[in-house]
Amino acid sequence: MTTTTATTESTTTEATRRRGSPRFSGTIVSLILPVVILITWWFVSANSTSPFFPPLQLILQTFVEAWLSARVMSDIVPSLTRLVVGFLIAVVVGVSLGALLGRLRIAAYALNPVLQFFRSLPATSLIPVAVVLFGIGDTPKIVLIAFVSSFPILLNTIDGVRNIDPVIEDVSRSFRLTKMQRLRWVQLHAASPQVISGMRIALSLAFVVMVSSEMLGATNGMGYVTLLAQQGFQITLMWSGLILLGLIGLLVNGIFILVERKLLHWYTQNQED
Amino acid sequence: MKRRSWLVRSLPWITTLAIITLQEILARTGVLPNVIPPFTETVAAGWMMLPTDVFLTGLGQMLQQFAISLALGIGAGVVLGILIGVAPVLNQLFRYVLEFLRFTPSVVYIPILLLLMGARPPVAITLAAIGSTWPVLYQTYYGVVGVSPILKDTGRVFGLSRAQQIRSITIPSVSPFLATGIRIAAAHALIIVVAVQIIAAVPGTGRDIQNYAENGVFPRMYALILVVGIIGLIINGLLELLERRQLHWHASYREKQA
Repeated sequence: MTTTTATTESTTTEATRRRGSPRFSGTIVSLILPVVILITWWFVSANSTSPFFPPLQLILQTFVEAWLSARVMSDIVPSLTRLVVGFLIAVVVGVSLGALLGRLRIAAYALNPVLQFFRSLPATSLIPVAVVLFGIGDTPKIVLIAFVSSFPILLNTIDGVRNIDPVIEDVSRSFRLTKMQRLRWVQLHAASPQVISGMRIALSLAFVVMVSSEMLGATNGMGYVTLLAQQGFQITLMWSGLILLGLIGLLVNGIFILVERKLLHWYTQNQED
Repeated sequence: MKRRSWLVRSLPWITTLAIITLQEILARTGVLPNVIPPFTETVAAGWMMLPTDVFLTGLGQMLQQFAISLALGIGAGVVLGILIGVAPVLNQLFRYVLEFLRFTPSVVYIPILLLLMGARPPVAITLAAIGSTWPVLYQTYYGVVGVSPILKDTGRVFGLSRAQQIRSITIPSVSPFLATGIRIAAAHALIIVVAVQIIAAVPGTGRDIQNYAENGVFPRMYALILVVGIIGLIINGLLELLERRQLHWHASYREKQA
């Protein structure tokens, strides 16, 4: 089912893009609402005395003062490092183990109950365990992010490697490709749409775990500062933290989509025929 | 031949048992640190907890928050997904706003909701509802947009009424997408409910896990995680069963039965 999602997604966006009016005017229409919201927020909140909803101007000032200075190194970089390192470990482990298990059907079958259990286990329930085992530094967060995000990648890779067209396999064998060549150029290539849709699930999981683990057991990081600001009643700092986390989420996903488009260029093109 | 197939069929259980036994041995011989109790100790702690009030209340609250939020998320997702699916203008208009919201994991809003609502179940319900809206919304949208034009034309040629078109063309085309959306949404909802309970001490199994972790009652902590994992498996299984029942006509299920 995951593959159906991925394929339909790319084709429909392509289709709507071409059907609609020129892309430029479309983007302008899409920008109307965000601009209206920001302007309304700015003016409605301008004279706000409510402690919960400070003026947007103050929030943005705090954003610049608090986040775009010392906190870049003390909080933003550590958070992103945890996210990226954890995610990359998950990609390496998930893809390599997945390729292996996809080939050794019997092993994948034997390990299925264990894999399904950890896939179904809500990732955030392991945050206390990570704190108990590894304390509150970077290690528990990286380990946890890597652990929970490797399962979607692993399971999707197994599926992808397994569902290769047998004709392609035969052809590559009759061309006498070596095992490594077949793995790299045939199996992983054919599985990549599914692997990447697993990575997408893993990335959103990684982000959730990063933020929530920083809110529970941490001494720095964007999630930590934002929750602490709420507890310390620094409401403008809290709002600016929310905006920052939203923007970072957008950025991370945006980068991922760009990479995805580049890697799956051949795939979306085939789909359009 | 027959005996071999029996052996092969039970292989997953044999492997699982072997892994559990290995964990037991490693924990008992002290290879694993003592914050990881042997499996039997975890299960025994869980067994003792099963009939207690603390456990049952926590579990009930977790499931209640999960179910309410998932229902809200599915409702909102379907309605919004249909809206932006049938009206390209709305899709164009809401695009960036929806994308911004979708890429912000809803646990990010924990602080603001704690501020407004206090550490009570509505925080978990609201956040999990928001989190489970997006997969349903986008899957519904892809489903609605992807209805084959040939099918639509055929329906029109056969003179189906609007209601008949929706019943026999739109709903069957959208439902496989929706099923996937609901399955992702359920996983998200459970993750978020547990996260809110752990972080903000909102009543539920998540809070109990965190309590046992803080007080060093590790067998109970692991027992509860085991329970939450089993709940996750059951939810997955139920949704898959429902999907198979409702979508038995769909190609991906017909193949499996053949």
